[in-house]
Amino acid sequence: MPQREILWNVPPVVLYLVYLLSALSVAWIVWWFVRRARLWRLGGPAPDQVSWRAGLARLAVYLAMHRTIRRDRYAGWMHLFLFWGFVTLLIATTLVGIQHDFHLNFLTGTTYLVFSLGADLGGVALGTGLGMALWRRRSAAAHGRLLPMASTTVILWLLLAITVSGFLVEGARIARDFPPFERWSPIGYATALGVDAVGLGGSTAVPVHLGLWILHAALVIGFFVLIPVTLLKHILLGAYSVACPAGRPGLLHEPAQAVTTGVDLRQFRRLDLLQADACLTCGLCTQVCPAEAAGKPLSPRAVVLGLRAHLDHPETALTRQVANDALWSCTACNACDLACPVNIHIVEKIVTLRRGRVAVGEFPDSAAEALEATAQKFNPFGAANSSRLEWAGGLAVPVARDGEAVDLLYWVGCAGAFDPAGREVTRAMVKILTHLRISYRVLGCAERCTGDPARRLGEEGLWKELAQDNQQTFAAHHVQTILTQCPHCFHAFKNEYPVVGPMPRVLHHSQWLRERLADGTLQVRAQVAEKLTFHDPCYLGRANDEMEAPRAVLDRLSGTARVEMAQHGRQSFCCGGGGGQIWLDVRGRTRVETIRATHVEQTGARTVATGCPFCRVMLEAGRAGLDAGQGNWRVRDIAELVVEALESQ
Amino acid sequence: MTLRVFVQVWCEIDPTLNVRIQRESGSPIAEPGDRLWRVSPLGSAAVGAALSLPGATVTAFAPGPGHAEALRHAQAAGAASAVELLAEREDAEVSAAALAEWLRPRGCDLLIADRLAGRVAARLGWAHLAGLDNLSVAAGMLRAERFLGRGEREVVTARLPAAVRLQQESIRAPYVARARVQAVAGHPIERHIVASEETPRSAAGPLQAARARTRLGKMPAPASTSASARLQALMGGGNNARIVAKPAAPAAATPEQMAEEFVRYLAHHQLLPSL
Repeated sequence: MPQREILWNVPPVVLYLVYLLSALSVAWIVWWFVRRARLWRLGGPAPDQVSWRAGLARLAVYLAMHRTIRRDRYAGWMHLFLFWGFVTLLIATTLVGIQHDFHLNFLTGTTYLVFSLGADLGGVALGTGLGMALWRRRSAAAHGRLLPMASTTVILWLLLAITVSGFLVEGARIARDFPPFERWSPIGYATALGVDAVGLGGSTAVPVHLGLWILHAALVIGFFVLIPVTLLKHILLGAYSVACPAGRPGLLHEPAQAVTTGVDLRQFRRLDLLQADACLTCGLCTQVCPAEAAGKPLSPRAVVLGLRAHLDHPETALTRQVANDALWSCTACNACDLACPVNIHIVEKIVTLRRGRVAVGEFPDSAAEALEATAQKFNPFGAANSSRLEWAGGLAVPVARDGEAVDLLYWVGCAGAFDPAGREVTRAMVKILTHLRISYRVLGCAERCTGDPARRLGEEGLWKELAQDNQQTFAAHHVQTILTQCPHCFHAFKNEYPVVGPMPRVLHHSQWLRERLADGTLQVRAQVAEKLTFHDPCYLGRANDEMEAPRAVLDRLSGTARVEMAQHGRQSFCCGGGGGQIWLDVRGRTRVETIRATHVEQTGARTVATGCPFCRVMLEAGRAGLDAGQGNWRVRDIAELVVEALESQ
Repeated sequence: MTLRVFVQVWCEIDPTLNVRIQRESGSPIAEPGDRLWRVSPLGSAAVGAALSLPGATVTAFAPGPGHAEALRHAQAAGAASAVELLAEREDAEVSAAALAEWLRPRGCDLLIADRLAGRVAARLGWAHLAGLDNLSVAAGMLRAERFLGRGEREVVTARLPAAVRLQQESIRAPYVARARVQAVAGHPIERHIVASEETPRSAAGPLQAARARTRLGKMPAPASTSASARLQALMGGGNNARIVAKPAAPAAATPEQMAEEFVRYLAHHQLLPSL
């Protein structure tokens, strides 16, 4: 019957020594993690309770599919080989250990043959993955995405050495007497033939086997020792991070305690601190970062690694680990969060760091002006709040009276009320509402900023004050539905205000227009004959998964003339105005909005539609920054395009 | 060594708003949706300047009622205590006399205030400087930059105690996070009702070494009793104050020089690449 003697040829003294060293290495891992956990526990508790069952299910699906990692096809396949090869060999080793230590005898007959084949295939997969990783590290390091870390190269070679030595051990064992059933270990059998060919077969193979076994065991123990101090710790921490609820991209959590002093570890969530250790340094976050693309001093990976460096050396101020300019370059577009293969919430960390800077007044003057204006005048534009209805000149706009019940509240937003381009969108929306004879109200000067820019700039206290004020206003008017054209207001109302208090139903205008088109209330004919593309606002697409509604509206307007930019939907590229950037100006090689304008240019579209007043402003700015002869296209909100269609009928 | 700094803070009507006067009460009102009062940026900047002095213990005070928010902001920014001073009459001279009497026993080293600074300095015989920025204190001397006309600056020093007023041309009032303001909501604000009889003008402190505010090189004015010299002293200068240095760059005279100066200004503020 096909089977083999487990741990054949290994003297008990060697075996006990290996057991002892293995136990010590595991103790070292436990000690490191316990010590590190003390630092993680300085953070506030995670607001989301982790359900172990749901977490494990999430992890299992993630590991089986490798969906996030496979966005980079090469890296995806590489990690798939590494992961499944490693898991297969881990299972094989565990089965061997169980059979030996518990004196069971289940690896026999067909089970043994399948086991042998599976273990060999696992070794092949692991070796393939390691080869791909080493090759990629050699080539990709040239263009700078991967950090040239010696420790990473060392562990890759170490794992390769473990894999190869494993096959050599197997080959030496088989080379002693070549049992025919061992052909089910194809690589091991081939290795045995090689061992025999160099004259180490038969009885000579016995001492060779022992020597290789000791080498293999020593390498494995070395692997254990390196787990906590290299990126191998992502095996545990990355798995935990993935098992935790990912949360909606762009959703910020309240700090555990009010931030009144400079930033320190207590202002982070425990999960944030743990995730700093889970980082793979793969650079996918930095690769998709619009600020990095524009040459600004932000690398999302550097922020995470800065936090990790502070965990390593808590005596060094966190402000020295993460540069101020880097923090104020972030557009809070959440592309990095979505790209991270281990689910690290990078924007949350950046905003937490910003909170600490704001608390001690170390932030750009332009941001301070926007915050001061928001606090004093209830809008970041610094205009008198009483002038919120100036956009309405010539239009009959119903303003909610004190205490009047409002079924549909049209929330204009600060950009819609004060920015010239935003006002055009607001006027378009009012024209549509009037055309459809829909009963609605605006709040006029009772409207205040949602606090979204303040929150993303790190002014949590102001955000909360404004959220409470606005919620009181909604309650006073018994608002049933809020309609807004600003994705930032939409996101704040839909996802962040409910933490403060109950909220009515919230609709982005693209969703509302789609509903009106679907129920036939709004009837437009395809009108835009020229090529048209759509820029997904980050807080509509990426943060709220709403990619279809604006496209459905545009398809009614443009027929088949719509084309997509290379980066669209959840992978859309930021316009450069989010995260308070519209009030900041950290210099880079170029501007984020200019890069996005080149994306529009590449489509050959004559019209770029969007669904965000901030994106509209930034795309116009980007168009102005293009070279002469380019930028022969216009920027319009979808509401403006609907009005154009209505007026032409 | 502790430096005791007293800083005046106050609330003021937001000058950027459209403010009307209510006919019945005569009180100012803002348009619906606007916040009429704001914390004075000059007072906030003064608190920031005081807190930046090494070893400073800052006391924020507000003359008269209705300035609680300004005092809260000062506390949130880091002032050790906040005091509301209530004089018997709302009159600049009476307020100055009351403030001087209140400050006298408190060992004040530096007073940063608005227009009251000159009056208080005159009563207490302190140095008085106005239009200052970039304050620093070393060895009992205050050193600061004084804003002159057309963007020029000069470095001035004064022996402490001194009463100063900051420049208003480019105020950089530090933003105070709302969480900090909320955190000091329960902190006490002291209230002092200061009784003061109006001091005869002759009792005002001797205003010596008064000098023209914007012209370098002139001799200090003699201990004159003329009204104009005393007024100049009130505006900037006074006891124990002198000019140390003035930036070497001469004022631009020709359009070309003015253009060069403008380009230098843009380059200094890193605005050139964006042009």
